[in-house]
Amino acid sequence: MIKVIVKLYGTLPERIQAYDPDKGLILEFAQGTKVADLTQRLNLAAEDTGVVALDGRVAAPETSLYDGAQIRIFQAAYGG
Amino acid sequence: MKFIRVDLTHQTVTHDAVPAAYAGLGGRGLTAEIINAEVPPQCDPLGPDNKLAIAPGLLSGTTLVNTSRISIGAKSPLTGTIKESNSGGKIAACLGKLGVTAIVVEGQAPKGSLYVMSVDVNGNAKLHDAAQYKGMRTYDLCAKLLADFGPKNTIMCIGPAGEYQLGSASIQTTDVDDRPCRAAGRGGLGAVMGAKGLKAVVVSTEGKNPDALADPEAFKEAAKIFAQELRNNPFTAKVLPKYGTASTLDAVNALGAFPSYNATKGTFDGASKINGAALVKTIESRGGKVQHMGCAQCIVQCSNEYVDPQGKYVTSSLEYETIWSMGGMLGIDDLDTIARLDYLCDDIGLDTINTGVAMAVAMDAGYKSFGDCLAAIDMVEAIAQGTEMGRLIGSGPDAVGKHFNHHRVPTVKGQSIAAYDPRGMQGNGVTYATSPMGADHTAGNMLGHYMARALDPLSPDGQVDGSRQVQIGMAAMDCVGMCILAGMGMTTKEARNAMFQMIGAKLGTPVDSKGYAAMGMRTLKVEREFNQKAGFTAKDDRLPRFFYEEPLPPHNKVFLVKDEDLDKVHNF
Repeated sequence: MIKVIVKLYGTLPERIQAYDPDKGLILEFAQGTKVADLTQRLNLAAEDTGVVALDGRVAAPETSLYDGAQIRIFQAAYGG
Repeated sequence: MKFIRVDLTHQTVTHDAVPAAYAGLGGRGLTAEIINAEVPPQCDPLGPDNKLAIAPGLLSGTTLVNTSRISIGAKSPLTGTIKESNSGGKIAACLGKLGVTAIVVEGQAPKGSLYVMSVDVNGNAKLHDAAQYKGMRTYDLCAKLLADFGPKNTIMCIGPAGEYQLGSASIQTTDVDDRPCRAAGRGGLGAVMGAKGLKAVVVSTEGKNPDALADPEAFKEAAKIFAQELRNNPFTAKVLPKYGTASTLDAVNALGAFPSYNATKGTFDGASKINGAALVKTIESRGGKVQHMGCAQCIVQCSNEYVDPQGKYVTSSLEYETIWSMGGMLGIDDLDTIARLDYLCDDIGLDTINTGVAMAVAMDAGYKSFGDCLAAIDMVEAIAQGTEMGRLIGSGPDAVGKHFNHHRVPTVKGQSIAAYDPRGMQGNGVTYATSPMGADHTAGNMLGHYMARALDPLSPDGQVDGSRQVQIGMAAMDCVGMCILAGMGMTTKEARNAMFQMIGAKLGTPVDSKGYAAMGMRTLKVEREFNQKAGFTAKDDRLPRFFYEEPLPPHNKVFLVKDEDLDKVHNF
């Protein structure tokens, strides 16, 4: 099993009951789990435009998660 | 179709039809053509030969949503290049509804004299002596102008910084609630206005004479589609109304490209205290507004009203770039201080970006400590007071770096970078280096490419092509008068086609994606032409050395795009 820390931004925390922005979510997955599996588990659909960053790099749905990864999911932003 | 010229040297005003050479242009496209054609490139930006061109966008004054952007152009005293800086509020929509295509401010008032210009309900301009408004800060100034000229007016004006002719002086515009909290901040255009002896332009909000559309029915239909696309877009319909542009902070910080402590770190430890969520929590708990209409005809409503613990108004709108320049860049994680600094900049008439970065350079040089909230407030107040140190800070980061003999000055052509570090977002570095305006994120922000995984932000590959594409797109959008945040709606084919149809329906000639891009390319070429005549060469299209030499944590990258590749950006 691997353990990852997931932090949510934008309107995404509203989806998770009692989400603590300081701690985030600590989730466990089987080895080989991919980003797409994570977003599915969090019920994040494509229209949420959730962008997943693994340790500061934008990750593709097929990217594998790894133990200890710091994951941030935020909504697409184009600056202003 | 009214073209107004105001000569401050002789205090005369003329109203003409739009010259044939400027027909069919608007916004940045028009200001670029005027400045390139009429301003001697080698002139003193603060002398009588420079001109200030004020132009609503091509579609400002129409029924299309989110088109109240006013373009203001001149030769910049900060960069020495051609400059266009645009602002929201009401003035662009109001000028459009008066049928005013542009106002060109020329000459220079006799030393010591100051004027206000009014544009009445018929689109007729007049100069008024403004001795009574001399030295006023913008909030008091606008309240007094609205009392003197009547409440059914909107204003663009300068504060003390503009009167001092400082390099970071902005031109402020009033928002929907008549507060001067919108800014054409970049490039020191407030100094040009101050040098002309023009304190404010007061424009009637009662105009009902916009330019005729060539095909009103087609325009109406396309405008409806465009608005619907904005309402369907998750970013413009959900994220921006709630979190405003502050929503960008988490993304850039997560990518390690959030320049902090004068661009010595790419992430900010205090980010969670100043991000969109913290902003919303603070404002909501105090009874302020997190969804607020700042600009005329805006349906996105990304603005906010920040209030103090007693619920009293502090500033509007607290935005991402300011939260960065007055926050992360200074090591300040206190929203109340950042909001106060934002208000002071609006009130004094200062670009929050250039001013924050100037203070960051001073702190980095050891003048004050990072994170010192009171020192930051004192430094900005000193600008209004016109002290020696205040004038130095108000002159921008280059002046501060020179004064302290400090090497780490994040500017291009004298203008500070914005809230995206070129080492963590290489394409933004390409834009900073090659934009005709000096470092400017609105000239071509690449964040969208990185979010969509179209490019790796840390690799030099593809950044030149990406930046070129975005710079052309942004230049076109600046011609139209569309807010760049609402412009996000153009990510769908339906919205893009609607935009092309509206431009075609306005001009009476079909416009497609090529025609739209041609508008942006023409603007960039004209701007480059002016800069070349002013003496700028490819060697000026470079970032400061430290971006190539000092790796930025956490990714520990330097700027990797080669000079010869930067020189290919404008190959079109």
